[in-house]
Amino acid sequence: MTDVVRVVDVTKNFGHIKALRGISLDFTKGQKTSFLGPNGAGKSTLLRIIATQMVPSAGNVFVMGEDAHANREKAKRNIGIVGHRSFLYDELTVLENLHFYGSFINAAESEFDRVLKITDIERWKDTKSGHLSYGLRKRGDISRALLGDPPILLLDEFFAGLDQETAGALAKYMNGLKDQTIITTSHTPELINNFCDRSIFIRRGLIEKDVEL
Amino acid sequence: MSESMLSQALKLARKDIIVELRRPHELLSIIAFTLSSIIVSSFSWRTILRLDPLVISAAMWVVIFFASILVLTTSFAREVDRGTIDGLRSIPCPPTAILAGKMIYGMITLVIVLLSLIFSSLLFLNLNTALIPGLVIIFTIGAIDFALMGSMMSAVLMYSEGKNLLLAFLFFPVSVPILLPGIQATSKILAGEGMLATIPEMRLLFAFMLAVIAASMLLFQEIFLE
Repeated sequence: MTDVVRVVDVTKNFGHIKALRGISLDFTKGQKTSFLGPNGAGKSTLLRIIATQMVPSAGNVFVMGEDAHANREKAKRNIGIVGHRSFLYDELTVLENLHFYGSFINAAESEFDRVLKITDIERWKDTKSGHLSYGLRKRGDISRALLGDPPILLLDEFFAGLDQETAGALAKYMNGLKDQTIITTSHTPELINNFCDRSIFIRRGLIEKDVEL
Repeated sequence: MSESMLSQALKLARKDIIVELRRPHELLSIIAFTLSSIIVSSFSWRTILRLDPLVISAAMWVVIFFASILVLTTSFAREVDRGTIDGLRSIPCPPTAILAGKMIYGMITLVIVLLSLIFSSLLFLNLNTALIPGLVIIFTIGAIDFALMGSMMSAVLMYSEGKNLLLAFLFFPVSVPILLPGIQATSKILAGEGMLATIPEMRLLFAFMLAVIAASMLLFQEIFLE
């Protein structure tokens, strides 16, 4: 199977702190992977480097076969990211937020309906994001990340702060995304294991275990 | 700036303006500050029959300087505080388009504040209406300079502890190349010397604008990506 994302010998130093120490990984199409490990292990750092939001100290990331950091704009078109904090603007409605982010990828009107339907948030599309509950806002964020149908989804601490019911519903949506390569971080593996088929344990910037589930 | 980059910057500026208009208390408080500063100046100068143009000019630029601090400190800091900065990073556009968007937003907001400054000066400082076109030109160039430099400073300091305080302190030394020619040019216009007399100061303001644009193009990508 073709590698959708390739991480080659990636190192990240923050001053004298080594957050990542030469990590190499491959991710195939449709694979759903979780980065597990304690706080400060380097999970989010690796995710941000794959998302081209952070520059590695050494090593390369290839997205769809191309050096992601040499062509960030192209890489970003292939990646949808949901951070542990929302990227939605409180003062804009869900739909306005989608229009704003979608305008950079020339998303058609039908695209907004499609992503709102996937996350079942159509009823709240005209509600300001600042008025939404945490779970609904998360769904709005997933809708935003799904704009343009990117082949890669990166989910940082996706289930943090969610109740069991909402987290279960969101895991169900994730399960429904068969074509997307999903990489998620968590330090609580229970929910992740419901939809991931691979778990990578990271500790002190090194891969401790890489398990097919 | 390529056309597509300009359109990306305009999309970002439009978003910031909509957000600003939906929470208008900040913009209104800056306009209230402008109005009250001019009214207080008018009270204290009411017994002076002929004011020195340099004094009026300095008072106006003090107002513009503080209004710029209030407008520009929030431009990147708010994105960081709300976590939306990573949303901006996820957008497939060059980092300089994001900076340009913030600069355009800063310019538009400052121009709104400047219009309130000119309007209140007409009312309370008895400015001659014939001076308005000259003042609008000088203030607009000053606002562009402040917006360029302030947005860049805001980006540099966005992850600093106490960024609002730091920006207020650091804003003054880097504003001197705007304030000195700005005050001189405004006083010449207030003295009725005409626009031609302000060409040396305009050149300085334009030179500073180009220097900030060049520095921003070179440095912003490094600042924006962690």
